[in-house]
Amino acid sequence: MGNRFVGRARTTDLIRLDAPRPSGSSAARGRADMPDVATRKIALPDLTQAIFVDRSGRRGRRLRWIVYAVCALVLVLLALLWLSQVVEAG
Amino acid sequence: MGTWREGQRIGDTQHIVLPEPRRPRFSGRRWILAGIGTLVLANLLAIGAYANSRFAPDNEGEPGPRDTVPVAVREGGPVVDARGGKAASHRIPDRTIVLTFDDGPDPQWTPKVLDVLHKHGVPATFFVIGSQTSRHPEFVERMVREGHEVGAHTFTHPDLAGLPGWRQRLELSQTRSAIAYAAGITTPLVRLPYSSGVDSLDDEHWSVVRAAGAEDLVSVFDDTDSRDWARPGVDAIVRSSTPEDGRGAVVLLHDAGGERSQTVAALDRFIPMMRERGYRFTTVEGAFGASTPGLAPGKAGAGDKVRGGLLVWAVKVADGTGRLLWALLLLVGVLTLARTLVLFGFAVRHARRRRARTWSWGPSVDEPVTVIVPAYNERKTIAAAVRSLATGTHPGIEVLVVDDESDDGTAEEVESLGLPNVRVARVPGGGKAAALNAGVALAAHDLLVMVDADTVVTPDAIHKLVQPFADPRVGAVAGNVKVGNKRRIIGTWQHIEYVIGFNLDRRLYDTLHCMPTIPGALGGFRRQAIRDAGGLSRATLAEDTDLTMAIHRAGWRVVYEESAVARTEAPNTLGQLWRQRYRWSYGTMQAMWRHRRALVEQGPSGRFGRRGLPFIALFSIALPLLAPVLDILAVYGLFFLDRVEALIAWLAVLVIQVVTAILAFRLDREPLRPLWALPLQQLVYRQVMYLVLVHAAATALTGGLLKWQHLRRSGEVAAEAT
Repeated sequence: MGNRFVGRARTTDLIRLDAPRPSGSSAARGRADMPDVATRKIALPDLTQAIFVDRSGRRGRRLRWIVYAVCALVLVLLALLWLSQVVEAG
Repeated sequence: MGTWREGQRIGDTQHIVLPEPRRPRFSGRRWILAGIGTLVLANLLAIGAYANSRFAPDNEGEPGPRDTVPVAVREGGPVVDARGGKAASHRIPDRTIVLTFDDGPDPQWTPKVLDVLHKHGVPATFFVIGSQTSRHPEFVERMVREGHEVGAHTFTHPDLAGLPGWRQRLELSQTRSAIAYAAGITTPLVRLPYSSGVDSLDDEHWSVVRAAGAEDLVSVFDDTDSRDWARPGVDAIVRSSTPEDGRGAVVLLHDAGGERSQTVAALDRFIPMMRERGYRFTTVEGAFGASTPGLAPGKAGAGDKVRGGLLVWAVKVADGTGRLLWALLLLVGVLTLARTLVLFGFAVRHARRRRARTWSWGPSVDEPVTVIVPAYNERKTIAAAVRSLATGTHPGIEVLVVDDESDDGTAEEVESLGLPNVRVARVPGGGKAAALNAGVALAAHDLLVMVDADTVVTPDAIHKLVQPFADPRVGAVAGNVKVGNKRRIIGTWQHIEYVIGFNLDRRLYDTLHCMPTIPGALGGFRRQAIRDAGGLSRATLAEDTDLTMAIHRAGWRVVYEESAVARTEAPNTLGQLWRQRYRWSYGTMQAMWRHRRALVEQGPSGRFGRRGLPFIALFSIALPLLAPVLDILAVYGLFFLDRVEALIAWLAVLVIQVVTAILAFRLDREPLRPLWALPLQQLVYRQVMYLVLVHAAATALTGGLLKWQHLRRSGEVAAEAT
């Protein structure tokens, strides 16, 4: 077996010791490059995006519960109405 | 491969199964909801019918035998107290008048009567009808607030003697509940409908009086009948109301049930006149309270009020539902009639213009044409379709079958035909739109015709179809598609629908430049028009409608060529028809939504958007969605209205449809024989058509995913062609 010593990469003290510190001035210095418009990716609309489809199912779920609640309320009211009449007639 | 959407594989090629993203927890859910909806609607209609006394016998017959009526009652006073099993009759004191008003409250006349009474400072007794109280509780509340007395006059004004005991009890208790809700009081007074003086009381009505007594109610009859219901004139009403020789009287008047201006005027004269004669005006309790205890109204309990509230609101909602249904029926009727007239006018004009000897699209178009046939597992029908296309009379037809990964040997079947002008392109499966896009890209010529693989064309169909391209503004042409398999009744129904749809609707759309759909079964296109439209999109399930709308918006004209005829295979079972129409309806809605911006855009897009889209929304979506009203009211009419009238109305609708159909068949030179199925079409097919639309609209609202479904082909049309 050869020498198993791997060693350690050398870094300059300048980097190792450098600590982040707040900027001394509030004014921006220098100028950012203009974005490279020519090679920027265009966000194309997804043509296969199905219309009306809610993949999360949230809309359908909410609507369903509203319909259930309305149905239950109406059925309870109807049952009460009929019951109150039956009690009177009986 | 398969069908992909939003980066996810959603199914096999073209095979698209029902709702995603998740299976419903229990599949009968929508049937349960539909059942609840029907139940509630039936209840509301029945309550409405009840409140409009459609269940009540309302004939006043001649008085029957009077053997059981005690003489003391028959010859006694107008107040009969049969509470607690006894039978006491009470006379009114002299120079006393009790004004009683029956049949109210009425929103028009009751306030006027109350105003006159208020002006003279006179109390009166109102015997109100329960259903009317439910509709206008505010007037009953005003009566009590202004010091008048309120009694019950039953809920629906039936002749109680003709009703079973439980109905009698219900009529009385419901009215008392409604009064309790409206005015917060319980009343011990009742006046039986069709009753007048005690002298006309017969055995049957006496038993009703006793039954009312058992319910703790005192029956009030009258001494003088003003006969104001007959509107005999103010003088006559005053004369009839006036008692003789200074005697007292319970006077019968009406504040509802018709025009009551004479009653109001008569009151204004009667009250001061009687006062001058020294009479006092009071209520039943005021006149009889001394001799009959317990005539004063009590305070209503919470139970009574809740019961009354339920009843009052049930009647209000039922009335509202009824009014809404009738209004919708009127709307549907007016729209249908307007549509029929417009269709007639435009279709006949269109047909005349096209049939004129001078009519031509321009110089004959003989440029070569590429016919694109997208196919997925169409082995049964593809050979007949391709042969009919390849052997057409148009010079230079190239048939391009785009095989979308069929696994039943469709492509091999076409290749085995060995026709020189037929090409097969195998593309990775991606659905019909993708296959058509591939076809457009691979086509050798600039004039394109798209034909479904289950469709057989007549020999000159392609040639006729491309003639409109002589006009450089025309970008797409719709052919005349007919149902090929009409042996079964479901095929016949679709045949009728297709003939009407293609001959009337499409001629109208053609004239108005707003054709919504080039049928996938037979349509001609310029390649440039498809490019301008951005190709076929997979965003909707009705790619043909979507493409047609896009072509319109790109500024091309879309026309109809009725002489280019193709026969297609229509769904053979109700289930398949349902799935096909589900997809069409949903796809049409998607396409309309996708092109909604056309409504506000400038130029040709805006012209199509503002003319075509509202038209399609109104007549292809809204009108069919409202169609159930017709059936609901037909059933309602059968049960609660005059059956003969309901039948006549229904037949009138049928006649309009028959006339429309005959016109369409004549314009298309089709034999009239299949029209025998039209009356039957009203009983199954029509309902399926609107239910499927409701289903599609519900799917669109909830955001469920609907996918392409492959129809099972019988190969009937193809077999006939070979």
